[in-house]
Parts: sequence; C-alpha cells; structure tokens
Amino acid sequence: MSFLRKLGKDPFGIFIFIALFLFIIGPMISVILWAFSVQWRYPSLLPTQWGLKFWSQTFKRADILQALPLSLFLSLIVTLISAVICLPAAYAFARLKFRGSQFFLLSFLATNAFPRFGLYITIAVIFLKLNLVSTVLGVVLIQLVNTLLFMIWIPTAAFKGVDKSLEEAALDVGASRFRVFWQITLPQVIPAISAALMLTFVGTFYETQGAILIGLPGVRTMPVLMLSLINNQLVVQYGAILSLTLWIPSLLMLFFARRALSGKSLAAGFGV
Amino acid sequence: MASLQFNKLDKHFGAVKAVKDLNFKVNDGEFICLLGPSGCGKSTALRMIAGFEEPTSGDILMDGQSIISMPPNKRPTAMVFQKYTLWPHMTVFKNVAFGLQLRKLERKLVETKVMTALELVGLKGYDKRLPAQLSGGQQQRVAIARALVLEPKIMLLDEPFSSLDAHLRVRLREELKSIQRQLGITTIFVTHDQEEALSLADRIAVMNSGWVEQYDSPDVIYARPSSQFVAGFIGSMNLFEAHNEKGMLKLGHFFLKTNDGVNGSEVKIAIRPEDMEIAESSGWPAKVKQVMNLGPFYSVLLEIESLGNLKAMFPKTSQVKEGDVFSVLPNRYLVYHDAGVEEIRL
Repeated sequence: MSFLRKLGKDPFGIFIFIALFLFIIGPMISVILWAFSVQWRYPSLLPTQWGLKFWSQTFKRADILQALPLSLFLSLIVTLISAVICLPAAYAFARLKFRGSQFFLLSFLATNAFPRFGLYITIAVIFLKLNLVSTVLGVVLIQLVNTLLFMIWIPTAAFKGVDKSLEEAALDVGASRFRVFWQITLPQVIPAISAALMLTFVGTFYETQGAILIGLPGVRTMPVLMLSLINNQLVVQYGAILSLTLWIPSLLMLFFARRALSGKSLAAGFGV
Repeated sequence: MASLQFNKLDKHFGAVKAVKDLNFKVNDGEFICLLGPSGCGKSTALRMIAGFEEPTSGDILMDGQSIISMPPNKRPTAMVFQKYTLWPHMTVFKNVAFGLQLRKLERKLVETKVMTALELVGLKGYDKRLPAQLSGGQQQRVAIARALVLEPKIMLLDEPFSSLDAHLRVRLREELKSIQRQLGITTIFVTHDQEEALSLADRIAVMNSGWVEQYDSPDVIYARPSSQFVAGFIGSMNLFEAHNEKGMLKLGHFFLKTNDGVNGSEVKIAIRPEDMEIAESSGWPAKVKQVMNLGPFYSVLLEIESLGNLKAMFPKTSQVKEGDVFSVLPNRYLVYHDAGVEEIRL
C-alpha cells in the first residue's frame, strides 16, 4: 500500500511504472495468452478460442523432444566443466601472488567486453578444421568461453573476502591445508559459488550465438529451435509455448536464489 | 608449558627489516608482553613463533629444541588473533572442539574438555550459539577458550583486546591474567598499549623498529627505562636537554646534581610527573597553566621559565588551582648520556 501511495505522489514514478508495465509485463501477458489460445483472430482483444491443444502438439514435435534434454545436458555439462576449471583458478587468483594476476583476471573480461560474434567467427574457422562444427563437443567448448567471466570473477571475489586469519586460526589448532580449505574456507563462499553456478547454468541454457554458429545443423538447442520456430512458422503458439517453457529455468533460479542467497552475497561476489 | 628462546632472529620482507636480531629468553610459565608502536615488528615476531612467518635467519627454540622447521599446524602453540576469528558457520561448541576433534579424541572427552574451557572463560551455557550471536568480548573469550582447550605449551595473543571498549578491555585483562596464573601456561602477549603490558606482564620486551630496546620487569621498565625511546614510550615523561658542566647538570637556568656515572657534556634529563614535588622556596618557580582531575590525583601542567612546559602529578591534598604560582623540584630523575642511563635521587 505504501508503495502505491508513494507512487501516487510522484508523476515521474507513475510514468516509469506504466512504461515498465507496457514493455515488460505487456509482452509477457501476450505470450501467456498466445500459449493458451487455440484461435485468436484480429481484431478481438482476447483469444477467440482457449485450450491446450497446441501444448500437446508442441511437445509431440520430434525436434523439441530432442532439443530439451540436449539443452539441459549441455547446460549441466558446461557448468560442471566450467566449475572444475574456474574454481581452482579463482582460489589461485584470490590467494596466490603471481606475476600478472591482475592482467589475467582482467583478460576474462575481454570475451564480454567486445562483440562476441567476431570472436566466434574466428573460433568457428578453427573448429571447422578440427571437425568440431555441428558436434556437441564443439558447442560445449564455445559455451565454456561464455561462462569464464562469472565463474572466475564471482568466486575470486568471494575467496578474497574470506578473512585469512580464519584460515590461520584453523591451521593453528592443527588442521591440514586441505582440511582448512574444505571445512573453513569453502563454507564461507558457498553462497557466492552457488550464485555463480546458477548464473552459468541459466546463461548457458539461453545461449544462442555460439550454439547457432557452431552447433547448426547437427546440434540444435532449445533457444535455437525457438528462434527458428518463431521465424519460420505461421503458428504463433509454438513460439509462445516454448518461450513459456524456457522461463522455467529462470524462475527456478530466482526461487533458489531468493532462498540460498541474499543480494548481499551476490554483491560481495562482484566485489561491491 | 615450555620455555622459549630467540636466537639472533631476523625477518626481512623484501628490503624491509621487520625483525632485527631478536635475542631473548622466556621462562616456563612466564607472562611476556611484546610492547611497541605499530610497525615495530612485535606481531611478526609472534607470527614466527606460531609458524605463520618463516624467519629469514636465526632460530627459535622451545625447551631447547628448534621449532622453525615445523609447520604451524604441528606446533604446540595456540594463538588468539586481534580480530574475532571464530569460524562463523560453526557454533561456539564446534569452534572450541574443532582442534580436539582433529586429534581424534573420544567424543565424551571432547565434550568435557570444551565445557571446562568454556566455563573457564565464563561462557557456560553459550555452547550452542553462533559467533554472530555473541558480543565482541564474548567472541574473544571463545577464542581464548579455543586456544586453551588444546593445552598448548605456549599461548600467543596478538592484541586480542584492542577492538574492545575500555571497560571490557580491563575486565578481560584481569580475567586473562587470573587464568594464566591458574594454569601456569607460558604466554606471549603482543600489545601497543603500555598500560596493558605493565598490568599483565612478568616481563616486557619493548620493541622499536624491529629490535628489542629493553627486556625487563614492568617495575624496572617504568622506573628505569634504558633508552630515551622507552622513556618516551612508557608512561608520561618530561624530557629536557641539559649540559654537564663542573659537576652539575644545567637545564635552562637551573642546576641539578649529577654523579660520577654521567659521561659527556650533552645529556637528556627525564622526569616522571609523579616525581615532581612542591618545594619550599629554593625550587623552580612554576605557574599552573592547567589542572586535570584524574580521580585519585591532579595532573597539572606547569609553565617554568627557561624550561617551558612540565607535567606533574600532585595529590588531591595539594589543592592546586589554575594560575597558582609556587616552586617545584624533582625528587628523582634519569640522566641519559653517551654511555647509558643514570638514576639520581635528591
């Protein structure tokens, strides 16, 4: 109530509120309506015929039945490999002093700082020679590139945030280095690492540029499939239903994120 | 319980010599304070005992055995850190029990030991709390219990009370001393607070820019600081330049007697405020600039012609007021000269 009351006194706030509603909630409502309509003809404001007919049709399509498990598998495998590579690296960045560590840490920004497509094209040329184009391995490799930034930066900041004297205190009472890491350091950074894992999983699930360039025609992920359905099909419902389905990972992440982490630990992950 | 010996210990961080030629011995059961300004090397010395820093050269002996090749998790020392270093995801019980569990002790025994340690530091019944649910003073008590429960040969404390407020600091200080006396555990305590060092230690090592200026009992350190640095660092001290001429020390217009031990013509005279007395008439004429009531006595700032300001401490019975004029004289002073220090009483 107090939010709405405050809003009422602020014309600019009302403007922003309406704009947000039109540009974010509006399209979402439209997508939901389309997903549950059987027939929607101009100029009626609401679907002329409701139903779940297209849901069963969508999930009977062979391409979708193939793409959904593939996408889940890809996201999972990319997240896992990324964690195995990046978490030890993050610990090294945070705890070891070595020449050029700042430079290397910044270099991970490069993949996100410049238009990615140029990078992908050159990689695609190499992959073509290595026969990696249109293979699952190729897509895994290209999608790994995307995950490096989050998977290194967030855990690095988190490891840096762990007070060194906590580790020294554990060493002092007789714990081995490994035990100190496992029982003292790691529990402090679990929230930040979970955040990085979730961001990586969802980011990979929705990734399209690399998946299109390297994956097609043999490997077709859900978002890629959705793009082609939207572009080539006269049936709007396929696109709407897939788009709704693709919200699930995001919503799941939001749900877990709210429980597992506070905004604080995310912010700490970025060193704010 | 153990004795500790530093042998020509050096520690350099690059070009910075943090600790220089540390040479002293700590007896079994002694309470030692390393005292000095920040950056004097006292924490580095302590961290070398714990094993967190490796000496550049020299040796540390515990009961005659060198310990410098031992990793920190194998050393029979236990440390209490400056900041609260309780592990935030473990309960108080788990924090104290962690070291014991690593030693694979029986569960019942661990429980008994932890409870005894918590009782010792006055935290009975707090075992199920998380560190975040404790006050700063309570957290430092848990840290002390965590160190004591392992029955270390040497307990190390790195400015453990510096982040607590003044009242709590004094209380924990008293508690720590009584625990140390009760257990007879060899203790090395790092602090920059001279009052803390004077009240806790059996012996104090006053450190300055990496080396020990004086290693002595608090009484001796207070009464006879061996160098001008110690004189300036411990307690409050009036320092004056003086000439040594014709068997007398001349400072400003005034003369003080000297003795055969004083060498050289230029010397420094150091006078404790409590060694100043109100004299009959033959003393130094002084005007009271400021009077501060410190409870049991007055701290008085005097202005003395040709000497400048001088701090003195007078009993309440003296009834001095700002603007009063009278004569004062020191009944005891120290003379720092080329070859050392002489104590002279009038």
